[in-house]
Amino acid sequence: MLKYIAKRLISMVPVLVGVTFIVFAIMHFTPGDPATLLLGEEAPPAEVERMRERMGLNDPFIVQYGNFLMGLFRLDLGISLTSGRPVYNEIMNRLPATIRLSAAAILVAIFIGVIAGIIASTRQYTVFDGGAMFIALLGVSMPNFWLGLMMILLFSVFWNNTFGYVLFPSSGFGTLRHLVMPAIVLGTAHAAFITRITRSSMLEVLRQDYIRTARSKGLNERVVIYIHALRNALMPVVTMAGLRFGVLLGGSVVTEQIFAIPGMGRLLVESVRSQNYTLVQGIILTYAIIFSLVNLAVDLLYAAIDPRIKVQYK
Amino acid sequence: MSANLLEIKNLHVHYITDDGTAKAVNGIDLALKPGESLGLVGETGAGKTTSALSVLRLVPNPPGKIIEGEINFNGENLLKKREREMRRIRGNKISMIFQDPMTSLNPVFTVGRQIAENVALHQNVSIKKGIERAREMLELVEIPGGRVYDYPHEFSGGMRQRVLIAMALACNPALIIADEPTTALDVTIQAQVLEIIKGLMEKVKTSLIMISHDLGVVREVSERVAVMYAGQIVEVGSIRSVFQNHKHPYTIGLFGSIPDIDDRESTRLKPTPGLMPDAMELPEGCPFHPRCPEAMKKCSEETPESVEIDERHFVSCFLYS
Repeated sequence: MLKYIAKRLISMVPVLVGVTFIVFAIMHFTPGDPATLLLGEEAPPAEVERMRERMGLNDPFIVQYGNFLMGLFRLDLGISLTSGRPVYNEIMNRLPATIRLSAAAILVAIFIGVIAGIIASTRQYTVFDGGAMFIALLGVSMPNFWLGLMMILLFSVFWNNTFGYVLFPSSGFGTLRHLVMPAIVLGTAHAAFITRITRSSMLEVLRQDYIRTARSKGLNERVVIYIHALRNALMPVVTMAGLRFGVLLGGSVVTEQIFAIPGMGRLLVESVRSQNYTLVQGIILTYAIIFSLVNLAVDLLYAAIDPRIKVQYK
Repeated sequence: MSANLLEIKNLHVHYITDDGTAKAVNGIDLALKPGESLGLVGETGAGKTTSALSVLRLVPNPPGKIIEGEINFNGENLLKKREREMRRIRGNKISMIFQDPMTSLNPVFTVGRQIAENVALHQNVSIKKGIERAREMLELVEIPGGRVYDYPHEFSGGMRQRVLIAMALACNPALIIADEPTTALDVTIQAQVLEIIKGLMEKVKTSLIMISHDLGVVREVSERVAVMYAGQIVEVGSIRSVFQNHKHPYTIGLFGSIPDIDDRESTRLKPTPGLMPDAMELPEGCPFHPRCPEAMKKCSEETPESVEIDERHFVSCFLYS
């Protein structure tokens, strides 16, 4: 198993190098001059030219890319063009908030989604099934900003007016209580995907012969469903949860804006808008790493769930 | 006459769907004494599996529904029992061996755990004790006890079927229903599994209902045989009586379709022409009459009663009433 993990980690290297190359090339050939951006439109051309020389922008493309790669080994992603601070620090300031929020949100989504999916599948075509699927649809259709604002209205404003204190703070980040509302807002949006996949996967599994065997042993229905069926049905659920976790890590600009969370979503949007190419490169590279790691985690979970897959991991 | 372990009386099971009602089982009567072994034969779709699942009350519902009848086990009607009481009977007093060993074991749990689960549940012991029992049971079906921690995919088809047999026997049930336990296996493995079932039946003294479409299999392990056709039992009797003296035209046809290696004269089989009727549109009267070489006018109007033609040998046909 450890050997397998090591192999997977090593195989991430070429993927990441590929990602850096593509991102670097795209940013390189995008119109706009970083030096002008850094100094402002009014800067004298001679000044700009000096800056270009200093930043190495006059070197051939391949040399610039080489320098960028060399920098990576020292965790040097360059300097943010808008703030002048190292890109690495900028990202590290924002990443923890995003990771914590995404983890909380995916847990909410899995919790709601798996339970709703099981309820729907075990009572197929009944009111419960329809109800669970309706709520799932509602969750995915409801705009994040609206649900966020409504929750702030209820738990922060209304609660404060009625009980004299704020149940969940409406802005900021740090404590668990800060995390509750944004995690629910993001989680409900993703729960629908997990509900659907859990339902269809459970329906498939409940038809299997081994479920009939389990029933014929006199096990009660709860054991049959939550132990015998669910574990077999989890594979697509884990896949979906992994994908959704990746999407969440991409950051949610709207939710971060509403709850004033210092996350990656806003950082990325701002950096793209201001053509802050060093920061864009850094952020995308970070995502590529996280995505690869999440993928690896999903594959390892497969092995934990199904012994038949574990055998293949050599 | 000693008391029957299992008595099925006038059992009707229908599958009710939007496209119509499939009458899978139409008034079967069966009796089984303690320690007795009965073979249930018939074509695919004759209602064998549905009858068996009814005994455990595991007919998938919806669409399946037990319409009427009685299933008395140790003198108590199972159809009147609550679900909770039924759970105490399943896997404990009555257990079932299913047809396809490749899909009947849960792939994500070790075989030991799957057997132990059964034992722990019904005998109120820990899973650890259950694993001990699982080890014994595996040895009993000639699988090394050390393999309790292996997963189903690490066993061959024949071994998995033996695991299922071990699982069914783990709680010393009074009745085992084996639903075509050898059909999914290749011939040499079939013989092996049958040998094991036969050996165990002598050792543990439980009753057995062996469902099969193969008369040869039934002869191997059963004392009595019941022939099913379109949801009814057309003939039932001791193996000897039925094999030597089959009376119902369907049974005669069934025996006519067995190849005989010693008989060099007849090179062709004698199959019964036609197909079994669709359970959604059963014919009036005797369900076999459209294919029956001996059909009379009466056959399409009335359903024949069961007649005892020899000791405990019953036939449902107007030829004998």
